[in-house]
Amino acid sequence: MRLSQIFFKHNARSPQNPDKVPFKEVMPLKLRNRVAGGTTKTLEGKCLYEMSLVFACWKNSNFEPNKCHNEVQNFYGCYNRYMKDAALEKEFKKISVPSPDTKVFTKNQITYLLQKYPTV
Amino acid sequence: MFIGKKFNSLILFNLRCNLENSFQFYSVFPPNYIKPIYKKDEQEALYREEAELKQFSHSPVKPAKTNNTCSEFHDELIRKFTNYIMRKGKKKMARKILDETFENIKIKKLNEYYNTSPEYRENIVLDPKVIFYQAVENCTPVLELQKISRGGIAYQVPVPMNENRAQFLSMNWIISTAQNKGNAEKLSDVLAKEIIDAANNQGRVIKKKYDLHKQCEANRAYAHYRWL
Repeated sequence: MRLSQIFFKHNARSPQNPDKVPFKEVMPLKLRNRVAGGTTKTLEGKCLYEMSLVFACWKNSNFEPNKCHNEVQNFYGCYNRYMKDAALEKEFKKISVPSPDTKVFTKNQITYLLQKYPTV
Repeated sequence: MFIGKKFNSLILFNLRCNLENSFQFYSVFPPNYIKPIYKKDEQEALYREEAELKQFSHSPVKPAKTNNTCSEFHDELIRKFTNYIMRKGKKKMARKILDETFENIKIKKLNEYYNTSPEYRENIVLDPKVIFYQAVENCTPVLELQKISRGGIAYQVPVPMNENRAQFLSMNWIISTAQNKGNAEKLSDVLAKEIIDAANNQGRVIKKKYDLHKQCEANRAYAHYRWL
């Protein structure tokens, strides 16, 4: 006979019946009125392809002057566009009150809406 | 060193004033004040476009700075270059160095002009201002290296930069390479030589730019660390 069987013969800890266990509410059973979330970083629109074009051109022309004018202009154009977009996005993120016709929301805007119309 | 105290005006609520009457900081003006347009050709260009003129006509204007003049000798890039040459606030000295530099460029170019045969003289540019602009444009870098550490290792990452920074680097390289020569030669002589060389896509400044570009090309694999 095993020792454990002797020990637990009279006072064994058998598994509980889940139907008989009373439910205890640790936290309120509703969603919070705020959201948390960041953005995932991507390389889209960050001009890496244009940069690689410039590098390739430099390698082909052996760094000779005035050979890669088009590639460099293309790269500058892309970078300026990126800077402009980034500035616009930064401005957009500052706004916590969403305008009525927006389809895209930041987390602050969703939080604002949730605070205004909280879950009952 | 002046320390100006600012207070908010009681009459115009969005205007902050300096306590000293003798000078005003530009920062006291709220952002709706526009910068003065003091160049004659810019003003004429503005008059041609009516829509823009209407927008400007009723907006408050900041006062012009003391060095803003409509003189034809005033040039924004050259003014910047003078300020980059300047050390310890000696602007008079900086302006003198630049004047001498342009004089040297002119003398050298005229020498070259008269020593070549008449058929080829048309191709030689004599205007120091044009040569200077060409030199600054030739020395302007496209990328620069930035130290970014990932996983405890500092990588040299090629990053793009804005136009102002590129222009500053270009002009600062011209000055620093000229100053590297030491006190054996006058700064104005060396500067003139460097500017003429750079305008012809030769010389040490151009080499510095290509060295940087080559380093950027060698580190191209780390380019994505700028954003990730």
